[in-house]
Amino acid sequence: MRDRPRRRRRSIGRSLLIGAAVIYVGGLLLLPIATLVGGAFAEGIGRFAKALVHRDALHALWVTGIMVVCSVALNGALGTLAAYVLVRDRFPGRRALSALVDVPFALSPVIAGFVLIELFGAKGLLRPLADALGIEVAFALPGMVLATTFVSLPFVIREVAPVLEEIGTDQEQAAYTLGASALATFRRVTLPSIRWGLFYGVTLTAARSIGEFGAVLIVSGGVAGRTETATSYVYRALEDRNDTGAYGMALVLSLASIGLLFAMDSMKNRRAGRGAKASARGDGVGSELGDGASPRTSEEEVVA
Amino acid sequence: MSITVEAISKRIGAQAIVEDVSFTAETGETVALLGPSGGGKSTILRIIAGLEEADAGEIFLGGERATFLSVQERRVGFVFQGYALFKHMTVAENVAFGLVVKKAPRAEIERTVREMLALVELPDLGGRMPSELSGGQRQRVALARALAPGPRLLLLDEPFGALDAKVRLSLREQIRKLSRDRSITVVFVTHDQEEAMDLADRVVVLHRGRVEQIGTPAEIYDHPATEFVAGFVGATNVLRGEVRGGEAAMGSLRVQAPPGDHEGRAVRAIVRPHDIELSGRVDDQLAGPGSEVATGRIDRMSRVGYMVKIQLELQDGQPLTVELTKERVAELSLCEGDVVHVNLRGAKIFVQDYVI
Repeated sequence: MRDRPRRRRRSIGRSLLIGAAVIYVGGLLLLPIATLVGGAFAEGIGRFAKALVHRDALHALWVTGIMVVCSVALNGALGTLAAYVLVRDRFPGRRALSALVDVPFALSPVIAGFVLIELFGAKGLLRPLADALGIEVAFALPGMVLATTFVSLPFVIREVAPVLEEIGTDQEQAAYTLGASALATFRRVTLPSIRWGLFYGVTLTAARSIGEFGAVLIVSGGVAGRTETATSYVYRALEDRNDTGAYGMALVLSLASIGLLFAMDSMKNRRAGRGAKASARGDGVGSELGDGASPRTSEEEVVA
Repeated sequence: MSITVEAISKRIGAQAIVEDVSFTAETGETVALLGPSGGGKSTILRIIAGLEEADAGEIFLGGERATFLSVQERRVGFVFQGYALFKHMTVAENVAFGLVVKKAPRAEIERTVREMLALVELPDLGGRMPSELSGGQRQRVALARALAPGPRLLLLDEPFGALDAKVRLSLREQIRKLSRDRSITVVFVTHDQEEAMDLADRVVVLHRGRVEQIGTPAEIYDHPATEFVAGFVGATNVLRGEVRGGEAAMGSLRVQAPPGDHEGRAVRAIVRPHDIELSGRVDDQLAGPGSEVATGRIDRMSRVGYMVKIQLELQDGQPLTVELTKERVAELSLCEGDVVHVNLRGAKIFVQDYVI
């Protein structure tokens, strides 16, 4: 009874905080999405559907799909390899390489696209290589895949490396003493241990690849029906005053990206729910010791 | 399978971790690598397993040169200090791992897993995850996993480090049984001298990467080869003094000096607490600093199980710990503050290399 007024006052402060958070997130995130939905259906569901099944729109979605699949495959495999090397091996320049990984975050995608065009353009440094391999890189799919892979490169490495660090080498060494080859050890011990980190990294890579615009637009030239991605389609549709097309495509892209993030979030929750069993990531150790219990108690207090 | 470690050395940077270490373990023998932390024990174990490479020296397993064999080829069972269980696998999957990777038939795997879990007395926990086990259970799973592929050689790195006393004793018993019933050669690393003495047939005492002494527990305890061994193994007192007239004199305490002419040289005496006899109380005036009779004042007495631990201060100020049975203390009716006669039944004298 005695401490009741104090507790109530605290909960008013909490309510203010909650209100601020809701307005902040809602205003900045939900409003634009609501606008998207409104815009897409402004001229009726029929127009919306028709805009989406337009040949150029479908092709743009197809191209974006290729970008996502390629960047996820490349960054998933090579990113895991890079994280493994960065964490497990000691070699000169390791720290520098580790810092370089974040360059795609710092560098404007437009610059990345521009550099790729310079490298593979008419007098580009790597043009002879591309010619020798008989592939067209600039203004073609390979260049666009390179650009998308470049801008989404850090995600897998940054998600996998700390997990590798956390699990250490003990389990791998134990596998060696039990007769497992390096490859068998990676497949049966290391990979299952990092699977969540890899999964988060890949999800973020996919979300980023869906949304990439600047780098890809510059490399591709955005030729409708050929090298146009979904995001470039939105851009062109706006220029052409095709509002329904722009809104529709934007809505589809947003839903795809947000859907990915929600999927990742629910996976995270499912893992946390399983508590002690999930120990592949760092937080598994904490939950084992009952860390999760204390925030829950304080939450109940606030409710009461 | 026997192990021969021949003159192995390893440095990390400028620091020598292991220096010219040699020892052997015969088939079925249990050998302890004993020494303080950072003495290079674990490194030696890892070199035997092939997890680390020595800069120099050779390893022979079962008489065959194994120095350049890979970890996988050496087929040793290794139990890691932190257990290193596969966290994403059940207990049964952990134990089965060594057989799964060598593609053993399913029936054989299932039988071996059942047998191993029964062996370490965890027959019903096959479906659990490692995170759901206690420390002692994890350690036993690690043991079962290491044994499942049927190694003739078991290496254990601080196997009982983080476990409570009761669990330690039962695990020790299990390992003893294993090495006896299956004639597995066991090499284990420990910093706990009591553990080494209890479990090992032979003990290799290591200090700063070098072998100080190799011998049975009794030899190590009764005849320590170096001052380090004498000081490290068993509870000890260290008294300082010098050689005078063929005797080592520590204050008024005198013991036969080691053979040879050491007259005037500094000595250190290593004295076990139970190698000291106290007798009769003395009056204070007899116990002056110049007295020829060795006496000490009782600072503190504490009961440890059946024994009484007595902290003395000798005339010259050196502290001395004595252990007597409680009957003997009652017989002498000793109290804190009493001054008593002190006699050394035995002491290990080490003449110092330098002359003061």
